[in-house]
Amino acid sequence: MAILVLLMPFTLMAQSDWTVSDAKQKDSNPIAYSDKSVKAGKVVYLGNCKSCHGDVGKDNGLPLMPKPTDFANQAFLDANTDGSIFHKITDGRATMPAYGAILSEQQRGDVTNYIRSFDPNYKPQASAQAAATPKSNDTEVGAPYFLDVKVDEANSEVTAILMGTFNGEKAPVVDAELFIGIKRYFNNLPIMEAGDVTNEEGVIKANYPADLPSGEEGKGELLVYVVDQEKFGELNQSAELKLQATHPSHFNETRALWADRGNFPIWLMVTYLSIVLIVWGVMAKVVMNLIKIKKIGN
Amino acid sequence: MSESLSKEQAKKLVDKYAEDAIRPMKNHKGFLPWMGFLGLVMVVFGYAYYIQLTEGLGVTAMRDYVSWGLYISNFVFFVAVSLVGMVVSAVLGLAGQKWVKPITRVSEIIALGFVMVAGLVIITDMGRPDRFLNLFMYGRLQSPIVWDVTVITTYVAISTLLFILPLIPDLAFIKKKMKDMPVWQYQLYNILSLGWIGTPEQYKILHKSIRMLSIIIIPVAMAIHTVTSWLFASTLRIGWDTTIFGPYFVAGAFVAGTAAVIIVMYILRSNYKLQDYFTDYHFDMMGKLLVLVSLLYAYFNINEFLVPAYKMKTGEAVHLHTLFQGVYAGLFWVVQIIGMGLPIFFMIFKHWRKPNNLTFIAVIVLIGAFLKRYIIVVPTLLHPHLPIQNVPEEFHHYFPTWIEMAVTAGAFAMSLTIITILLKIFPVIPMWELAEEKGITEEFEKYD
Ligand code: HEC
Repeated sequence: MAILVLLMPFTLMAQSDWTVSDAKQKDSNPIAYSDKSVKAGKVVYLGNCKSCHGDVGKDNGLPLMPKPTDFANQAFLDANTDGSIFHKITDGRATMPAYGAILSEQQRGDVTNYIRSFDPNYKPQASAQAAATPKSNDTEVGAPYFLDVKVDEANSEVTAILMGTFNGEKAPVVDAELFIGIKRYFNNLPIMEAGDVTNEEGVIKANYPADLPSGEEGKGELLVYVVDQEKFGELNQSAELKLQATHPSHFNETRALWADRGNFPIWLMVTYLSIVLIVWGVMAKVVMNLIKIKKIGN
Repeated sequence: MSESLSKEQAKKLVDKYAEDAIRPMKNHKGFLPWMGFLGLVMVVFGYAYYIQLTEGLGVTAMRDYVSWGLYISNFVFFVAVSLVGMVVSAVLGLAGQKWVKPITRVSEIIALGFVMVAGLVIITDMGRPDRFLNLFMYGRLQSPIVWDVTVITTYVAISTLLFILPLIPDLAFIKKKMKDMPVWQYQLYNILSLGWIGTPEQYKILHKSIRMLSIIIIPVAMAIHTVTSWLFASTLRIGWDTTIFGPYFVAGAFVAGTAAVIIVMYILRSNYKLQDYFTDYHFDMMGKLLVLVSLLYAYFNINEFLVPAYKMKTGEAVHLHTLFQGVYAGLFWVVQIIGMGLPIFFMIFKHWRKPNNLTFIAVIVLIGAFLKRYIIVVPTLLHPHLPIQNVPEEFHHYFPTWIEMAVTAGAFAMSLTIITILLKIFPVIPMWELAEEKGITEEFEKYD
């Protein structure tokens, strides 16, 4: 609560546009724009920023006040220099975390470049055709798509392969985000690197912790699915994993306050029963007395 | 008191008791309209409850955060009022306070009326009342809810016994005396009076039994409200997480119950001309009792609010600020000052313990007691330890819907119906106890 109160003036202020100092605006991005940097930036984005800012271009960020900007917004891209974006990421404001202490300069530069890659007007000095290239592969490979999973038990490694169709032939889908994880009761346990995307062969590899405790049979279920369902449709695969067999700790079978109803603590039962017996015993005695009164009356 | 009552006087006195006890049981012109009114309220209740049953608890204002609202505060209030049976008939009785004799039956009736409905009130808070039996089938002994169910059932049983036992000689008496009653009523008296013939031996057993019940009801009554307070205090919630809750609730219950008894006494006195039993002296004494228990309650209130307010721990501070100067400040200060502080002050003066004045104060105290339960239940729920985020606007506050109010009104109507019916069927004046006090038991038993 106290924190919220402290933040009040900031949140109010944040409703006005966010501009950084002139000097910071004039700064340039320390990481030069390149295909490679944009790709790395995408990984950083998916792992750190998507949870609030949403999918770029879909305007589906979290409903916060102020709203996390969608970076495909041209007005934003026009109003901010590379330096401005870089420093906003570094310094943060209100709900927007300050990433200066969280991400390396390389990562912040990469994600700045990734944001820039949505700007059709952007003309980076380093490589003139860079802005157009990153997605070239995606647009050529089309449906139908195929998702395949292989489990290497010896190395506890999972390989997921996403293929599409190009000129009637199977071809790898590059740069697609896959979820790779292990099924749990409530939400699944992700095991892929946050923000990992398929490589040139359409592959993402992930390692799973084979010592993951997993019931008496030591079986787990691997789940892989494509995150972008709008584009790829509902594609998913599962496989069985061999995990650590565990024996339930029976902690809820000890006699304790938190245990199930069969395992109430003895002292509680004794207290409860003796109170109930005493009180109802007195009442029973009174009822017997009433019977006596009745007998006398007859 | 006066041992030397002549035969003549004794007979006259018993005559008077009989007349005064039977008068309220006769038809009375206010009776039907009053029952009609209660019936009407219960019809509205039935309609509101039907909507709640078919559409679910969504028709109330309760949401994810405030999941206990008016219904649970009703429950606490009903349990609180029902405690008075024990205070008056057991504590004061055992303490040898002879003046409470005429009041014991009234307070037992109030206790019964409220505790019976308390059990129903808690069911109105259930979205799926058909699952109530699950509590018995799958309830965990470790849960205070199970203790609460146990203790309330027990209290209903003891109160019923403690109500019926002292009726036995009176019913036997009325059976002989009231000639024009319907058959069912005669049968009822016949069964309940257990063939009472008033032998010394019967009297001895009766006295012993009443005494046993009076003793055992004290811990049970303490338990009934202490366990109710534990439903709150055994959770880690701001405002409830306090060790003082048990005695705090019990003291609050004394206040509510005493006020309720004063009000019913007043109604009986003015409607049925029972000034000779509920005398100015009785009101004066009940006023003193109310001051005493209110002071006790004030003492707990000071502890309950001053101690955390002195420390103002982060979470606690948010809660206290809403009570002291926030959204609930109006209600809070009204309850504390008008519902508790001022009544104590006024009742110190004899003038304000006169029947009319005292009843006026008792009404205010009782309303205050009701609102107080609301203040205990609701604000805490609006202050969870984690901030309320990303939820619809309506989740941020609570104000009961008409359905909740109608159900609440219905619960009160049920209690009042029970009380009214009990007052109609059974003599409110404990004749044999008064006779005993005058030393004219023999005349009472031989009367015809
Ligand atoms: C906790 C949610 C959250 C996360 C995570 C987050 N942001 Fe933000 N971001 C915001 C919010 C809210 C704003 C708007 C802040 C304001 O205007 O005060 C914002 C604003 C920005 C802005 C400035 C937008 C403008 O309109 O001026 C940039 C640039 C930005 N974020 C980049 C990032 C990057 C890059 C990441 C990941 C490394 C990231 N954000 C992660 C919530 C977040």
